[in-house]
Amino acid sequence: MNRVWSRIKNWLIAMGSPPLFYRWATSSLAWLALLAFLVLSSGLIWGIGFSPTDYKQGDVYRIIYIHVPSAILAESIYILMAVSGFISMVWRAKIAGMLINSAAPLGAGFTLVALVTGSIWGKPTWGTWWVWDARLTSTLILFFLYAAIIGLHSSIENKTKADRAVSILAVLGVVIVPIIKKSVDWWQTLHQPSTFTLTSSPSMAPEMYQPLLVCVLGFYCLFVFMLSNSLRGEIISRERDKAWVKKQFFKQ
Amino acid sequence: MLDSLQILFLMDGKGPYIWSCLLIFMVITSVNIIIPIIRLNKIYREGNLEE
Repeated sequence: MNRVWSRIKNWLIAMGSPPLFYRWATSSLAWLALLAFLVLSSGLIWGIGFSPTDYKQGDVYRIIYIHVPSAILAESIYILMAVSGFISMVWRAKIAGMLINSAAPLGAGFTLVALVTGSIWGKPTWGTWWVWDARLTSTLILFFLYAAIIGLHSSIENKTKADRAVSILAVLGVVIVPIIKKSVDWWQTLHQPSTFTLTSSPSMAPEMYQPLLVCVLGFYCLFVFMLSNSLRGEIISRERDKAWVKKQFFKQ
Repeated sequence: MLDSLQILFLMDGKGPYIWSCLLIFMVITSVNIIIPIIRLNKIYREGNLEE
């Protein structure tokens, strides 16, 4: 076990080096895309096409297979950015700043998907597209936080200073994640309680819950692929004057 | 075959809600995949012109 852990640790440390990460991402990008496609498409086909109809909501509940994984990813990506922000501030790891800048548009995208699909789900079930309910409003604030990070980074020309600024914002903004998670418990909301909890068993039937788990796994695979894809561009853009980029990337 | 496809598409009148969610997800995800590829290709072209 110790050996496995030390291998993982060494691999993570190695991935902190932009050239090594670029090489790893380039060689594994096609495999990551294939894995994401297989897991996600099987989850979505299983959930949307074959899971049973809900006795209360009918077929419209199938939006859950897009909405819940997007919402989970929206929060997870922000946590990853906050951890990267902390690493960037404490250890000044260059790749941590690059990661925040690459992950922010992806996080904003997943948050937007969660908000829009939630709104579409709300119309036939609640009778309205939007309510200023605690869960919806806190998720909208998360979207604005992502937008603020993207805007702040692009407005500062010096990338080292930009990394520092967005790291602070990412670390401070992480407070929104537990607020989103707990919003349905702390306030009376129209939104239903959390689908995933660590403390209790799921309230859904296994036939509905299992494809959801596959979808969540597929979304995580998709995110790893998208982040690797995006981070490659960020690395090359920032290190374009370095010898390794000239040797490896240009005039291949 | 056509009947079951129609049932899947319409989903008791709720089909448009579900398929529009899937479409929105696919569009936003595609944009987030394509933009970094375009960016990388642009850097590659500019870099090779400079060389």
